[in-house]
Amino acid sequence: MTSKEFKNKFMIYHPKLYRIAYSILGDKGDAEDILQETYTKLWQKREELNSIRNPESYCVSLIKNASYDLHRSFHKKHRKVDICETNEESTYKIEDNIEQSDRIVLVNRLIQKLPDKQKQVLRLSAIKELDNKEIEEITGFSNVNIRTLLSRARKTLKAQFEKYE
Amino acid sequence: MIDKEFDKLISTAIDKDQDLPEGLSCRLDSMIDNLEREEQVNSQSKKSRIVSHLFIWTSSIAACLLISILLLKPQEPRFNDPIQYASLIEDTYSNPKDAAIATEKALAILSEKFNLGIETVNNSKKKIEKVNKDVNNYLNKIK
Repeated sequence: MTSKEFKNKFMIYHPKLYRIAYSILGDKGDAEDILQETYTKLWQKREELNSIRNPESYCVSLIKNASYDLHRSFHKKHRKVDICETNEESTYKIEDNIEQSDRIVLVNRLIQKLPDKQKQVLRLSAIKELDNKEIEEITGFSNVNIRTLLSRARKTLKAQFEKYE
Repeated sequence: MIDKEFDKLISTAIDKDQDLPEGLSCRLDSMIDNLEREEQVNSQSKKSRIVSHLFIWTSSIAACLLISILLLKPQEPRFNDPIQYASLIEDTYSNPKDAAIATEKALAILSEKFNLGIETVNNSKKKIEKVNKDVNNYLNKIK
């Protein structure tokens, strides 16, 4: 498989894959790193991939697994530090910049403060290329759970937003 | 704010947040191109390595064959043994008388040529002595 064929077959999904990685990892740099890593792996075993019927779902499951692996290893290492830093920093930034931030920036900052699961489901649901079934597969949650998490996230966001507005 | 409006705001915020980093597609494109180039370079060096290995192997085999042929080649007889030597030169003359006559002839030719050589040497000697004599006379005259 030449690079051109590879690009035509797999690279077209990179916006979707990036957004999935970002939804799981919550960091743009990490999402890009994992995307590059995933594409490197795919390139290395591209000859074995000729038989794959659905390259899109294959790529999605690959990026999902890689992102969760990274997320898990990162959480193991930095759990304690993370909790302290994110809480203090984000609170400080939000309070400090409310007046000069527009609503979108504020909502994004509030999303950052949401619990991981809610944040992840909210971000995944915003990816237009993803349907509910794929979100279920990526998160491992049932449809009901996803709806509950989404509604909780919205409720929390609204309450927080009205507080700052 | 109405729920619908707020939902719209959320989705806009997430969309904005999930925008692809600038140049991501180009970076991925060039990454794949680089990977392909690396592979080509690696496969070329692999090929040249195989060729050089093949060359080394064939030349070593050829060298071994040459050495073994030289070592196993039947050696020429040496003339330490007089009987063996006699049997070898017997082929020229089967009759000893003929051999003696031929030897005499060869020796006569040799002595004739030798005498000629000696005569030439003597003539040259005489000429050198004459030149020496002339040179000495001339030097004496100068004095």
